[in-house]
Amino acid sequence: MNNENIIEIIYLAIDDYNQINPNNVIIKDPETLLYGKEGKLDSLGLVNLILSIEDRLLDKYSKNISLADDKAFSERTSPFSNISTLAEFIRNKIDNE
Amino acid sequence: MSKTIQKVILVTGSSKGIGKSIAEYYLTSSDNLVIGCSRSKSTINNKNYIHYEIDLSKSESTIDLMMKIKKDVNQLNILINNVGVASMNHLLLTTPEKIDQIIDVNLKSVINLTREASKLIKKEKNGRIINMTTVASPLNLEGESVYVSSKAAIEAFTRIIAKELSAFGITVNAVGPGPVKTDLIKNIPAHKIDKILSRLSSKEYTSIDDILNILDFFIRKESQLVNGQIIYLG
Repeated sequence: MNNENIIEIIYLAIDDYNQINPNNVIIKDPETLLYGKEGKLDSLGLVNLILSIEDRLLDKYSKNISLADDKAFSERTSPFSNISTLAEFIRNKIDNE
Repeated sequence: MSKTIQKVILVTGSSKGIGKSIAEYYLTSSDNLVIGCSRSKSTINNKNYIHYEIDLSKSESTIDLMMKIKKDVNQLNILINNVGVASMNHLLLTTPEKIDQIIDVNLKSVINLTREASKLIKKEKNGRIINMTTVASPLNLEGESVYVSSKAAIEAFTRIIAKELSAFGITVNAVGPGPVKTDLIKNIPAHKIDKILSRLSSKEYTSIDDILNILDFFIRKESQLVNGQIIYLG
């Protein structure tokens, strides 16, 4: 599973989100802010996005990965702050499996 | 899965007692697919019943179970967290191993399974999660400290996740039966049961039908605003 695959999974999850939130569309760009100050997602939106990504990682790549661990929420720079940091976080999770 | 199936219901601890009765009851409708699980084999023989042999006290087992359900059925509407073990003993006579077992089965397995199952239930409309507690909890029965503590925790869990999961259209409630004539209480002396019954408003054993009545109430779609509630029987 390469970095492009990861970005593709994130973008598909964003498509899901955009479909049910047409008034708060997330632009599919690595620098798009997701969660935190000026981020597009509230806490419920983040939960939905994480679950959608986890679901797709399992369905498409048989990777059963939990993205929302305590470490993820306590890190100084949140892995959920933008699409690029999220992709890197997922990459590390897969590598450390 | 048959196209006529409308609801998929997961009942834990379904090989005997209340769990088996619940599974059999929901199998009387051909609209339902019932999934059961327990550590032992099931004696339920029905084309709309799937049984998984699994030890839910291990957290990885709950993930395995949900992955199997996702692969085999890919739908879940209702989770009935029925599995439970009891120990009716003075705290000083309850072994650390027994304490671990009660907390693992009655509390941790419910939390872990609810976490995993909610991911599938949230994809359906009017999702339902129903937990089992006990009338011994509000009665603060002596001799049941660990069991009642685990169920009191389940009640708190029920009320809190009712709030967390309401955004996904899932309601979470609990039913707390009085004494039911099952294996769970078979070793309790009759005079102790009589003492419990004497403290209830209706001084009778709880029947399976009493429990099914509450489950039906929680499950029906008109009960969407019945959320985070604990209903005791007796």
